[in-house]
Amino acid sequence: MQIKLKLFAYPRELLSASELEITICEGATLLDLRGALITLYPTLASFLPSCSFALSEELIQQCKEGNTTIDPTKELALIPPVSGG
Amino acid sequence: MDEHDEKVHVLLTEDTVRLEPGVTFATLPSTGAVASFLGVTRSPGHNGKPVDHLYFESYKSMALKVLREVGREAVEAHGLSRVHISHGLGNVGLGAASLCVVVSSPHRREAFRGLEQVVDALKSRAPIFKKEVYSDGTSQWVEPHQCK
Repeated sequence: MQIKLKLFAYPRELLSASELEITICEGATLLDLRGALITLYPTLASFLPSCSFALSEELIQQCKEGNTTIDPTKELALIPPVSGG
Repeated sequence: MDEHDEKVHVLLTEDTVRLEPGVTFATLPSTGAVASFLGVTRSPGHNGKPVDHLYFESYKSMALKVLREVGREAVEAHGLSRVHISHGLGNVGLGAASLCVVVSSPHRREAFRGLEQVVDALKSRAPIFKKEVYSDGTSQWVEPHQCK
């Protein structure tokens, strides 16, 4: 299946894209996506551990990524460390 | 709109962040205490280099949602009358405000505690991202462990 992943801040600059389109297996989890990102975008690999995913604007804890199946109809974003204020 | 929506006002803006609209929103006949916080661009930056300006971007729809949650939580926890949160996006120059939080309550203690809770919570939860742009033309995205 085809999914879209929104990017912000450092990952957006690093990959020169505000959104990625990625092909991933039906039923894939966020943990699978994390692995796919490392393979597809090796320059992102060292930064990924500090990032989380947001699904439908809800932050998903990294420990729950393996239990969270990706729904391609829901908005998905890669959230780097926040630093507002 | 629930009962707290009329008590909480949040804003992400490319314009100048100003204190006065927040104070106006928060001040009611029943509020004996109006407490405010401005987050202002400073130099040197986290790594000691002279800062020219800050650049902010956000996951806007989620950030607005989180800011509303943060405001509602503070209203619940401290019985605040009003909470205003505005955050700047784009470039914010030295000495200019990137964040304005104004809270109000009948008495001062609740206002002080609520103000601190709102500032701490939004800094750790809202998907807003800050880059320091230095006088030498280099730049660096700031991570939370660098923020105090």
